[in-house]
Amino acid sequence: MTAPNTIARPERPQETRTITVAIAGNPNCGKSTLFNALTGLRQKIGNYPGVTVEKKVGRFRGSHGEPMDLLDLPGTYSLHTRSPDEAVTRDVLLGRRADTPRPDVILCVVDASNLERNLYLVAQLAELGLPMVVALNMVDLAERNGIVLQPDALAKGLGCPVVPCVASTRKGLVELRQAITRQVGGEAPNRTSFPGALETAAAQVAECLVAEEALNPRAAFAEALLLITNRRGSTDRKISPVLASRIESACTDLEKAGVDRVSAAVNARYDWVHALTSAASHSRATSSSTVSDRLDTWLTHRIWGWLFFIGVMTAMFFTIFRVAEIPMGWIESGQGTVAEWIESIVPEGDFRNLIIDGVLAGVGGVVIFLPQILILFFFIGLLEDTGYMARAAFIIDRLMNKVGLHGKSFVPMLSSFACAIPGIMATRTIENPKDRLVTILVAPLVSCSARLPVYSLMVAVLLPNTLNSWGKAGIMLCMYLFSLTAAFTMAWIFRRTLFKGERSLLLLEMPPYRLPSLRVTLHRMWERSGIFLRRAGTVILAISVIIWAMSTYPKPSDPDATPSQALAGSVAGKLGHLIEPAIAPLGYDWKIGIGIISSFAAREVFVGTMSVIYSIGNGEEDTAALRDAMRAETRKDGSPLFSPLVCVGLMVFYVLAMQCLSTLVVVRRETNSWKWPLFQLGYMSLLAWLGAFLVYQVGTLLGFS
Amino acid sequence: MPALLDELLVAAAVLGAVIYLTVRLRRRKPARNDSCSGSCCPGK
Repeated sequence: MTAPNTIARPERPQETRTITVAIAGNPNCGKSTLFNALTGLRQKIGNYPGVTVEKKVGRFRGSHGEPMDLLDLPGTYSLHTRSPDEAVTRDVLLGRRADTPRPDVILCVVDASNLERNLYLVAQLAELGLPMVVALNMVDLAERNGIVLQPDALAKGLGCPVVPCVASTRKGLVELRQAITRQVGGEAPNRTSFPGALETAAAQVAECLVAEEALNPRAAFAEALLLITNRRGSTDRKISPVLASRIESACTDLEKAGVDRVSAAVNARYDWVHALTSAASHSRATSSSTVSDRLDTWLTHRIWGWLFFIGVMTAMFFTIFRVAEIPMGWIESGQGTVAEWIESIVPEGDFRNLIIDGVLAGVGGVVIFLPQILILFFFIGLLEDTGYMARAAFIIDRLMNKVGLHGKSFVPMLSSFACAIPGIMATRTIENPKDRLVTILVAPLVSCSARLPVYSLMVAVLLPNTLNSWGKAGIMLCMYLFSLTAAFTMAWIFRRTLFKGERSLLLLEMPPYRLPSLRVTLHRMWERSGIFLRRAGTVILAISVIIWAMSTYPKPSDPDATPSQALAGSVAGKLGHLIEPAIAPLGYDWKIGIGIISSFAAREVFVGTMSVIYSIGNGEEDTAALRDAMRAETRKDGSPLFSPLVCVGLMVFYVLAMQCLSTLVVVRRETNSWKWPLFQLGYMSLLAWLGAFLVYQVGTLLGFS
Repeated sequence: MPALLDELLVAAAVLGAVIYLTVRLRRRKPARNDSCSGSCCPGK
């Protein structure tokens, strides 16, 4: 069953360079926890060029203090990949990516409580011929499940070090560092012994790969196996005519020999894996159902499962909206202090206005949502780490399926409540391109936190004297439910029109329940806040400056002009007048038009623009002043401009409209084309206009004001 | 602050913002990714 890797390893280059270690493993086996435990905060997060898969590289030191780069690869069950994330893992390990060096050592993370299933990927990684260390993670959980492990027997079978560890408690990390250091430049592990005909065929194709592409002989053998055992025509790489004919002849030879090229390789690996598992582990007689099984009977129950799910979601939203208020208040008062400080050191003039009304108001208006976003990520991290996320996806799959979405769309939709950007990025885990695209197209309809200031302002204008927060919360909840309904309806329509086709089944691994690690969760929040703040400090800053300039210039010739008159004469004001005929049927005037135009880049800018239009400064008491100013605004006939119908219409408009430039840029990156973001902008704008039109016109016809 | 300096600072900030966004959008052009045939990426 076991074949030593017989192809000679080429000489290592003599120059000193940083060793690259790649962490690979199945999803949910603790790769990222181990990555964080080994690297601490010494990490760099970016993207693999050309695909939007996150690239995480960290620095750590080997047992002699030598620096090493640690690459956290996306989780995969096999090198026969199905999603863009998994393709990156395969390409990095095969040395196909020009932007990432082929690793010197593979650190293969294995879930000790699911040894047999995890070892299939180990078998494929062993074929790559790279030195390998196996981290036998979660040995504590395996122990609790009654699994007795023999790491030495596994190490002997695999021909590489096997280190038992618990990444979440940092147990076994020292031994792991020692093993990695020892394996640098070391021997390749043993690999599966395939049927003779398949070995010969792979060797022939590998020979061609070495000659044509100057590949490392070991990488060439693994690549050849993948090429032969893939379905014909789905190779995911460039193939020269010579190589294509060599593959074709190898496949024909295998057919003649009566070898099924796909199942022969898979069966050989499973035979080897089974032998390894039998030698390295056995189960103690324990009760047949584990704690996870017992919990699952309740948490995935048809009724109790739903109740628990609703309870968790309610707790999450309550925390997001209630607890986040405290740090949001700090940020707000911090902004006020900074504004005062700027006023005291920068002399009066346009430049000071630019800093305070453009930069500070624009960037601050976004940064204020940081606490809500962090709390959301805290919850998402907690749900993932405990293993509940998979159960939630399982529970919601039935509902999602009815509207044409996939169970895995649940996480992107949930993330979109904070911000559509992480939501859209989370669609990478959806394998089926149609499912993924539908989710990307409807995710921005889910009410994100940037819509909150608009809702808050409109609710304040609508119900000025109602101090009862239940009434206000009720309107907010209606908007959230409306946004979900809109997202589901559009997904249903897309699935029956643009993206017809077979629905993919939900294949989900139910990881065992685990206690989450606070360190890991906090680390994730730290990581996310960095990404969010970088964005606020770059793109949003630049957009804020431009919007400020558009709403300031040209300046009025009359020096006594009010801010409102000055705004009317500015570029933004002229644009507002320009679009007035289009928005008049919605009951809006040119001032609301400016708000809509200025908030094209980010929805929350609407509130800031309204403050400028109604000459209201910043600050808590000014929210009441803005509310009163808006309520006092009248049309030419003396009727109030912000009537209940206009307020509700505006909220409906902001639920449905794609007023977020950053989301459009991210959709463009994720789909590799401008076609889909432009389509999304078109359909959402149309939907928003229609929604607001119906509210205003039908409401007026029914006698509402 | 002299009016000219005030205007110059504003002009520099706006120009900087425009240049930054232009460069950023241009940089976002997709790099060619030979490893992906399009079967896994929608829109490709």
